[in-house]
Amino acid sequence: MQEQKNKIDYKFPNPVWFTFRVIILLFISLIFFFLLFDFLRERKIIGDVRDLSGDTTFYDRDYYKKSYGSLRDLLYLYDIPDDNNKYYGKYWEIVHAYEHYVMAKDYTLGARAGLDYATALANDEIGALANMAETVVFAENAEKISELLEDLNGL
Amino acid sequence: MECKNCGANYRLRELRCPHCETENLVGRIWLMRRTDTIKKIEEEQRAARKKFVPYVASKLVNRLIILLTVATAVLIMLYTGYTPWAKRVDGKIIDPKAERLLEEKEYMELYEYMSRKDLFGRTPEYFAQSALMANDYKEFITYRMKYIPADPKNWDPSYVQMTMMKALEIYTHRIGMYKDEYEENKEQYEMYRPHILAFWKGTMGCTDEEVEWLSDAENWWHSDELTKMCKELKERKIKDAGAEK
Repeated sequence: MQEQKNKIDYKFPNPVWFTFRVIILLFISLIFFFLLFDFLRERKIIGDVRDLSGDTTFYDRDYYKKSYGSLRDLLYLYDIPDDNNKYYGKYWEIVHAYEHYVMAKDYTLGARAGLDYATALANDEIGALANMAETVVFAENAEKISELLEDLNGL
Repeated sequence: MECKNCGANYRLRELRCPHCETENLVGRIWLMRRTDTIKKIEEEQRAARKKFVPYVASKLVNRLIILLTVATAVLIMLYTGYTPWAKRVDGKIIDPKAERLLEEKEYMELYEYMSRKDLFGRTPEYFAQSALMANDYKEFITYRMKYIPADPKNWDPSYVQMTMMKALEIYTHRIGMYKDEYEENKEQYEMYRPHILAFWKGTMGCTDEEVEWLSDAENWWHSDELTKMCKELKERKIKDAGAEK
C-alpha cells in the first residue's frame, strides 16, 4: 500500500502533439482577435480619430483654379469627410454648389430641348444654389457661389 | 482464522469460510477498510497529477482551443451575417443594415457598407446593382463637372466619350454584370434617368435618334459608333455656339 501511495503515474503529454496544439491555438487566437478588433471598429466602439489638420495646399490648387470637378475627385479619392470641418469644409461647400450649378444647367438646356419635366427640376436646383448663397458657411465661397448663380441667370 | 461454525482454518481476508460458506464479518470489515484506503490513495494521486505542470498545460491548451474555436465561429457568423435566423432570398443572405440603407435610399452609404463588408456576390443582385449604380452616378457627376466645360471647343472627345459611356450604363442600368431590371431598384432608375436625359438632349445637343441609340443597352459594345457620335456632337455644338454669336 505504501509503495502504491508513493508511486504516482505522471502522464507527460507528447511534446510534438503539444507543440502542434499550441500553434493551432495561436492561429485561432490571431483570427479571433483580428475579427473582434474589426467588429468593434465597424461598430465605432474603438478606432482612431483621423487627424485632418494636414496640408491643404494640395486642394487649394483646384479650388483657386475653379476646377471643381478635379477638386471633387480629390475629395472622394482621399476620403475627406463631408462634415463642415474647418480644414476641408470650404472645399465641399463649393463642390456641392457646383453640383447644383451643373445640374441646373443640364435641366435648363434640357427644358429648351423639349423635356417638359426639366423646368421644374431646373428651378429646384437653382433654388438650392440660391439657398446656399444665402446661408454660405465659409465666407471665401460667398463670391464664388454668387458667380455661379449669376451665370445661371444669364442662361 | 478459525471458522466459528465448522472450526476450519482460513485466511482473515476471506469473505466466507471455504468449507461451510459461513459469512466472515471480519473479512468484510477488512475489505471495506482496504477499499476506502485504496480510494483515498487514488484521490491523492489524482490530486498530485492535477498539479503536475505539463498535464495542466495540456488540458488548458485543449480547453482554450475549443473555447476560441466556438467564439471565432460565432464572431464569423455575426460578422458575415450567415446566421441561421438571417433572411434569405434564393440562398443569398439579406444583410439587415444593407436592407435598411436601401429602404432609406442611402445608396452611397450602401455602396460604402457593401464594399467594406465585401457583400457583393453574397447578397441578392438588386443590392449590388443599387450600390454600384450609386457609385457610377457619383462618377458621372464628377466626369460631367471635369470634362464638359461650357465652351465646346475645350471638349476632349475621348473624355466626352467616357462621360457618355458612364451615362449610357446608368440609363440602361447596365452596371457591370448586373444588367437586369429589378423591381426593387425602379425608384432609383427614375432618380437618375431624368438628369441623364436632360444632359444628353440639353447639354450635349443629342437628337431624338441619337438618344434612342444611347438608350439601347445593346449599343454598349459599339464604341466606334459612340466615338463618331461624340465628335459629331462637339462639331455641332461649336457650330451652334458660333451661330448664336
